Amino acid sequence: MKLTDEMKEVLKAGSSRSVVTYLTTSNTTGKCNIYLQPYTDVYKDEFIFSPDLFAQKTKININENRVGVMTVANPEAGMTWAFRGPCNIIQWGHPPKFNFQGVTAGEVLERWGDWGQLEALDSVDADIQPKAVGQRGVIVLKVEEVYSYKSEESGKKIL
Amino acid sequence: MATLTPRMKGWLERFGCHIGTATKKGFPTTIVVEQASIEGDSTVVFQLTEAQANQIKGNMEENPYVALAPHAIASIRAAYQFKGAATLSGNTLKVDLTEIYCTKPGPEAALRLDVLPPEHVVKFEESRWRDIGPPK
Amino acid sequence: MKMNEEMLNALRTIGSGGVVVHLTTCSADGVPNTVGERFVAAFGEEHIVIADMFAQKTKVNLNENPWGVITVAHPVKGRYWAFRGPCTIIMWGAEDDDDFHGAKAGEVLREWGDWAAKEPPSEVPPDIRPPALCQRGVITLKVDEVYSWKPEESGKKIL
Repeated sequence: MKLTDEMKEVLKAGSSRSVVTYLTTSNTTGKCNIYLQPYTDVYKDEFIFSPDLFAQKTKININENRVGVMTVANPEAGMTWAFRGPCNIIQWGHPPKFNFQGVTAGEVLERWGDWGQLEALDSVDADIQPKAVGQRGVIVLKVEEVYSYKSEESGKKIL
Repeated sequence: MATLTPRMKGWLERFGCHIGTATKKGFPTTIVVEQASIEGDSTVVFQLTEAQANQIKGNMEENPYVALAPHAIASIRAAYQFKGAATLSGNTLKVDLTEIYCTKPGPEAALRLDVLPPEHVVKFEESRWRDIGPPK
Repeated sequence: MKMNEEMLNALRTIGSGGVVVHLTTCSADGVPNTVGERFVAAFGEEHIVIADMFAQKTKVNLNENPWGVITVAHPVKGRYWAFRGPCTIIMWGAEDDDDFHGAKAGEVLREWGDWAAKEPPSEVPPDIRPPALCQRGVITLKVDEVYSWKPEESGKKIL
């Protein structure tokens, strides 16, 4: 599923209109976890990437149930988007040919494996900056559907 | 129920496990049992000494959840963790497995295996380890 | 509680003549997690440190229930020890003078925060060697008690 130009613009790394997002995952018995993610990028118009900097329960959930929903946490008008689809973490140590939904670990890690090279990770206010980061991989969400979470039309299919 | 592969069974039977137990409030006690037997595809049975049974009896009465990690050289070669509910009957500890994880250091660390089709797990093992079980 | 000389000498990586250990933690409602650890060392006479390289449920558990048990897994050679006590992860980013039961975060991180550089796992056979290492912190256990896991005397207090 191809994202719209507006979606791509706000989700791309270093965008001047960048948005903070939430990634929701769940374990196999339905216990959900929501992970704050300020850094995202778009690949091949249909993948949303984000760095695994501090993922804990997210990683545990993805290890047993590979699906996620990413929602825009601080939307400008109209950006009440929820992106849902298969989700995984491509980690340092995966063989380059490791393939998830059409992207390989080699291509992902080469370009997104050190997120600090793509955009400044210290661009947030000093009092909420992480003091140290250690990136272990890249969270990959393949967008298969986009629905609206706008209260009066929540669940309405956008794409 | 989680399904054990032949490789898992082999290492478990030969070397036993470190068995993590806890109170309902989360105070841990680990015992080590150096061999095990397997019933069917999902149950691990340990014969405890009096001392071991007495040590975890209180925990088992209030909280049946246990975690199993293979002992001795299996801690290196058989990087799995098994979880489930245990029943202590006399000196016999029977664990019905509900979760199996790969704990091999690297990108597979903590990968949950019991949610995958059994034939995929066997293929996964073949691709990750050069042995198919403990040495004869 | 001070560990004895034999313990202090054994608590090192297996490649340096030490041991592989298992670390047990549990959730606040008592679900245990037991995982093998090869990057282990004594820190001073009262603490045991382990590299946080792949910790997932261990980290989630310690975040809600800071207790652990470390048991010697291999080679045993008469070392039937179970070390129990308060346990935490000192993460990169912690303040230098953060104190965990007498262990200063800065000192722990300076000594053991980059374990792979200090003690690379070069002796580990290729099929079980971690392909890439990314350390986020140091799991630190303050030894409050040591009991025996020897089957016939399991639970007997050693220290």
